Amino acid sequence: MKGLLIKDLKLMKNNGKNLLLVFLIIGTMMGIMTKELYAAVGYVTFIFTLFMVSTISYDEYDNGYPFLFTLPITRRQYVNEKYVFVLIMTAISFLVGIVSVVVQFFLLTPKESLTELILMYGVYTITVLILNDIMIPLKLRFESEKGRLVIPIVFGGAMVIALIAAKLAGMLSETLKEKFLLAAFNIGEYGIAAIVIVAAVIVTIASWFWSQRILEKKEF
Amino acid sequence: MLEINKLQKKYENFELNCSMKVEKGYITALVGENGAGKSTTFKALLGLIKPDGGEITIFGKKPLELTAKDRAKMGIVLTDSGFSGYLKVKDIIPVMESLYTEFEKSRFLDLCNKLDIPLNKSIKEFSTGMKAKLKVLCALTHKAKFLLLDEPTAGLDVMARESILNLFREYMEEDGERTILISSHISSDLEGLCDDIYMIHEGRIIFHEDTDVLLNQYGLLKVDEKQFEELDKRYLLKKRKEHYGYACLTKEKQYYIENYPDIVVEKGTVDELIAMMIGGNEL
Repeated sequence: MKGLLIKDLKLMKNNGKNLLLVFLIIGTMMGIMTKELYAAVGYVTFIFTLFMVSTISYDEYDNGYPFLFTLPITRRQYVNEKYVFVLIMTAISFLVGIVSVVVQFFLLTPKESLTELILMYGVYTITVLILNDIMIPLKLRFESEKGRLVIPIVFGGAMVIALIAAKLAGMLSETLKEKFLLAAFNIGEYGIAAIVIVAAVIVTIASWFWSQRILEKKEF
Repeated sequence: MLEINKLQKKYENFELNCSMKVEKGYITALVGENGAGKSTTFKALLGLIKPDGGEITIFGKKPLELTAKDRAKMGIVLTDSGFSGYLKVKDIIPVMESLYTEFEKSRFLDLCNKLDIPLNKSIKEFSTGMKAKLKVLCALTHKAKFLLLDEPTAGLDVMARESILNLFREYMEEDGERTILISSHISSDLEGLCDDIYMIHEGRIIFHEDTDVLLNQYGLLKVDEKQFEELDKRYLLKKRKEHYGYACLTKEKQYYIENYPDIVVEKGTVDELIAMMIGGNEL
């Protein structure tokens, strides 16, 4: 596991440096222009976290998988390492985000609620985690060329579904909308956060099982 | 060390069905044309593909039962696969250190220096020869007990090939229990290195012999039509029509040298053997 983590860190260092620098500049500009530091940091960490999954593409570059699985690691360990790597990086980006939220609160806009900012950032981080949960098995299932097509299709499809859901929600009767809002209010912001966390855990476990199955069946 | 018993793997246009054995302390070669089934055999015994039938045992275990510790005792070279091209050699060192408890870092660095492998360059920018040398170094520098080498000298020039073959010889001399299974299409590599040779053709093992026997007892008889008619054919294995008459493969070279002083008898080579076994006709 340690060897694989080192490999992924090296891959990110070698290939993500320039990309990260570009996004850091964009993020800084966003921060200065909008004075919303946490949004800028969120943007950079979002890109950074999504970049982690690309280590799968680097592994399979130039038919790298067969050799990788002759090393003293099992397929299961390989999948575990990808999730551990994503979780570590997501945790780091969450901590960086929290620092930015605290700075935002004390230096820039002290009027905003700190709890609300932290919760918002937490939900944001969990969204990134779920995106990774979707992308890891897709990357493992559809290699290189196919993966390039499938991932935009899946995310495009998810956006269409979300838009349709939003449209349908808009068509709901006022009483029904009120009922939903009331239910959300009763659960409270901590309740909603708990639901989101539980959902993320379930999605991550399901994604992990799916990835294990994909790799166990794969021939190289 | 390794036993393959009736290994089967079916693809749309190809079917592998082979049995072979690699003894501890031996260097065994697997030869055959491109597409004969060499890489498929390697992939099956490394657990990269699932066989449709048959049995494989390495260190007395099935490939999928091998633990990380068992795998650390194996040094692997695959002809078309290696570390990600996006890594540099200096990145590989800590990875190897973590994966192999017996990784010999200083030896690895020495050999990189000796074989002109740059440490600070992405592997994807390496030439074919440099990539081949790096793969061999990775396989040789963690005190593996068993080397499985699929075309390890492919893409190397004569000098580089000789230094790599010397590394294999040194590796064997260090420990008498070490074993190598090697595939190569460069016969001179095999003749000077291997103890025995398996030949695979269209997914089947068609020949197995000790290299010494092959080089000393096998021969190629070159005869015209008349000489062929008069020839004792009991010890001929294959014949091939040539412009001068026939080329015949025999395992009793000495018999023909002694009894037919007028005919040309050439020493057996792996190249000739492959050509005759695949392209020759039964008698």
